[in-house]
Amino acid sequence: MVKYGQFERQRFNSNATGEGTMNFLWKNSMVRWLILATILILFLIPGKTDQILIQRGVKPVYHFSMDIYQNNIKNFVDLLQTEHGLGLSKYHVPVSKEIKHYFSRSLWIVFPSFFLSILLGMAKGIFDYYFSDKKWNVIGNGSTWLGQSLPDFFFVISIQYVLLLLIRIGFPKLDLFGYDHWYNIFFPIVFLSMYPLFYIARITSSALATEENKDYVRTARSKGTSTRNILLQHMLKNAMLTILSHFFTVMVLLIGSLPIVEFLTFYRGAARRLIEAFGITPVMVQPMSVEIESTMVIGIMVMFLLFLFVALWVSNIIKAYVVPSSQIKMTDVFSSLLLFLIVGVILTLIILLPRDLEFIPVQLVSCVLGLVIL
Amino acid sequence: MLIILFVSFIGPYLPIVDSNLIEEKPFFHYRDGVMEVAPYAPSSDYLLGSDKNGRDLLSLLIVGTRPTLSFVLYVCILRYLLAVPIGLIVSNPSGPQYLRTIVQIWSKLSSYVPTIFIIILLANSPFVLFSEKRTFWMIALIAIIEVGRVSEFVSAQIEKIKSEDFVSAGIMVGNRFSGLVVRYFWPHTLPQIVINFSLDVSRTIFLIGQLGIFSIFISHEVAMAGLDTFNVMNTSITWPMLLTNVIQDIRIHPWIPFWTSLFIAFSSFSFYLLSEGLRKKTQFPHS
Repeated sequence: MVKYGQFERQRFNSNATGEGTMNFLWKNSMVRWLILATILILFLIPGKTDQILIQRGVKPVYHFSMDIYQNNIKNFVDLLQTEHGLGLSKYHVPVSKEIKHYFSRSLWIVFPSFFLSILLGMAKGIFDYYFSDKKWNVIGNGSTWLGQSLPDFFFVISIQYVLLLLIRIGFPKLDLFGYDHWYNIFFPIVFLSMYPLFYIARITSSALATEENKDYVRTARSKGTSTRNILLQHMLKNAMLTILSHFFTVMVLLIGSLPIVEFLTFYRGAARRLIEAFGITPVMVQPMSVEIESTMVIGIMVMFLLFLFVALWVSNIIKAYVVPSSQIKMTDVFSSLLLFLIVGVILTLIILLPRDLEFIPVQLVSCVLGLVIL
Repeated sequence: MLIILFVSFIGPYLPIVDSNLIEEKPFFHYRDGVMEVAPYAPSSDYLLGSDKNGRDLLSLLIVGTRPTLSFVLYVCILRYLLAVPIGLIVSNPSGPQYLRTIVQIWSKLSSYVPTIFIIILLANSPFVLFSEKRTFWMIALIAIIEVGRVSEFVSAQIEKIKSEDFVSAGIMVGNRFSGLVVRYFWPHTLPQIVINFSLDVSRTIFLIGQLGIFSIFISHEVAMAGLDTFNVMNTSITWPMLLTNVIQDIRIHPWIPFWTSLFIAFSSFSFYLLSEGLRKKTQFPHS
């Protein structure tokens, strides 16, 4: 018996199965590691950052002061106790009133997006699965795949771009962004549901694919259940549990995309108000303030956390209802409540950190090369 | 699939190698004979148009490729450097139990709460905002939030492998846990980890694109612009930077955000393709 060394065995095998040298090279792990390492090293060498040094008369320096911090916390707790509210926002409106206002606006786009993305997503998933063995596969699965990986702000921006071009050609100009008209909800909902839609489509088609291997499918097929529709009805029922368990993830995805979608479509919902409370405005003409609306930020964040907590438990209850075997354990309820509470408290503490800057006079140094070509 | 893989993989890299060697410096302010004011629309001089200072957008995007992608890679590598060992330790049944709880809570955190909220909050906290080593803190921040999720992923992969027969053979032969890790778990977990890594890179590119829109910069200088106001000025050329004024830009000079987000989408997509291609590749030997 002739023994081949490992190297030779690989070469023998790969050529015997007809694969070319390229594949062989790829399979040879040493080469792979070398390529990977070279690429990484090329990247990781820190490059030159441009020296944009603008030395003004004073330089802001941050020193953490425990006293101010404790003061902030004390003030906040006092506020909660005495006023049962969160004080005034920067527009001198009670924070709780603003939160109610903005949060309900956000819900107006979150709930429709939720149902839209789930219903359409499942439909698309079924479509993808149904045609998975035909030529339509490219359109079905391909588009799901594409939709999942492209960032949704790319869609938002490119659609805006296309719309602008259309308007230049003379298309009717609709006040599509903003918040005054009923149809202003339309665009945010569409953009918001895009990513979850493709996500659910993927989950659905893979859940259906898992079902296919089960016995009852083969039985039904051999019995001659002609219409695949009936098969789909049965398979779908069984796949529903898997899909149901992803509903909460969809909600998290939706809330996660809220900031960007509201910001870009000018929809004045809670997420956008939150960003505004940080001093970030869509038009960065004015400088950011050191002061942020801390109670506003705390209020909105807590509302979102609360919302997610409720969503989590609604989805768990629905799951328990559909599948009798899974039970709701009280420990789970308490542990997730604890988690959310702890997150809320930590976020609040971070928001209340003092933000006072100290100004240290700095000698005016000549402007380094900066924007000029080196 | 492999062809697509190669093409998409090389795509973002060519520009980097280019700018590494050539060091194209795109900064200059330009006035036409016909007194055009920056930013300029796409024309023969400026292939993709220019930004507000008259800098050619294409050059900006190309030069920005490397800082952007290396930032993302730093984030993901740090994340995986921390998460993989933790995942390995956690899968050891005789290991510390408290670590397992910590990992569970950590990964639940990033799946119950959208990370963008946490990042916006922490990036605007005074420690990070006013720190001189801000870049480092941003990298650490974005990396650490998802360490829990990755650790849980790693230990789940190991659990899957543990149930295979050949592992009990390994135990019978007398391996300690560390021996099992090296010889049995690692070779089979590694491909999955690499696939997940590529997916993570894709997601992180998307994330910093979003952060750019919110003007949360990766590296910046804080300068005073008033008594209690400050200006946050970006000090590095990265793609998200070009997205900062997107609301204004989209109406008047839409080419700036459009091409920028195209670049971001393209690189995010190519890493996603990479992960899909790798996944398909690892499936064949088993089917």
